[in-house]
Amino acid sequence: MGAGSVSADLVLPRVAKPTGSSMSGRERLEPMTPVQGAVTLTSREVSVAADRTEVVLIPASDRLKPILVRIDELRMRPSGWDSYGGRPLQREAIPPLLQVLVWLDHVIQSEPAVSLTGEGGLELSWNCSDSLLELSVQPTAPPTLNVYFRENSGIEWEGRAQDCHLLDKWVWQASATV
Amino acid sequence: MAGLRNCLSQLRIVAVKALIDDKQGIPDDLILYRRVDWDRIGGRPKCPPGEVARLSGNAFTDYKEDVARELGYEGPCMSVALGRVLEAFGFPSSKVIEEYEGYGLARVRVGDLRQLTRFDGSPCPQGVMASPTEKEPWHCVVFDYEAGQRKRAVCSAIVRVA
Repeated sequence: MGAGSVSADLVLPRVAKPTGSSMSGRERLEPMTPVQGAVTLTSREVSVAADRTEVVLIPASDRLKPILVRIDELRMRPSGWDSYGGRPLQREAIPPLLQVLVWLDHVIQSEPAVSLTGEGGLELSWNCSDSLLELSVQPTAPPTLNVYFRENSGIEWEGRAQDCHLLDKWVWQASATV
Repeated sequence: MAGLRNCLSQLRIVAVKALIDDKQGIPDDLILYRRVDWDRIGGRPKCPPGEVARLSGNAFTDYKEDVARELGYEGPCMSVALGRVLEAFGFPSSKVIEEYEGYGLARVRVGDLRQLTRFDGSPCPQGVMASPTEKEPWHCVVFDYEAGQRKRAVCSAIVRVA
């Protein structure tokens, strides 16, 4: 699969955005009418499966493209990929992660490290000189989005993304290139 | 009787080992090794050639409770290799990743795990228990003293001492 186009069967559930976010108004994802037949889109969009009843198209910025490519690589890892019985990437982990990436796109300053978790979830991490942020999706039912943040000043926070009132600020901080 | 037999035939009885920190058998000065796949820490391209890879807490997560029980443990824990046993068998630490091409090894001192603290200095001690297997007689498990899955903050604390 080339880096210029990524396709995946994606249905995006509604994921609660971080409450009290300081983000300015952004394009919100709205449910589309059902799409009949598979649609293969350009690298700026994501393909959807014909059998899905709720479809959301994500406008993918250039910054998100390498992340999509990386997720696609991780999809290929088999069961036991980490020598400790790691589960392969679970499909339900992908849409929530992509959705939160779109929400946070305007505050992401650098490409995150994208990793697979032992449960078959995904983790994004940014680590700069003074802070670390890890954003992970666990493939539970429903998928859970968790945040871990640590700053050299002594701040450390761990919890659900929907309870994280400073997520956009912390992503901006941890993804700094300096 | 047939119904009971059928019921029993579907039962799976798994003996689980209690997780007990073996302070005498595994003293603080010993070294543990943990295999790390690149995809646990962001992928190989994230580490420039010649540099040491940056670990993340994702490299030190436990087996989930159901998986741990399947493996025979009473609760979440993570697999490691005990350096002293490797040495006793005449193997270098690289033995742990001999069959795992492209893997790396994280190294941590037992005492640092037992005295582990969070970023704010609060204690989050870990226990270490030997659990040798036929294939890996050096196999041990590390578990969090607080019941349940190791929190990400504690995984991150292990990164700081590894």
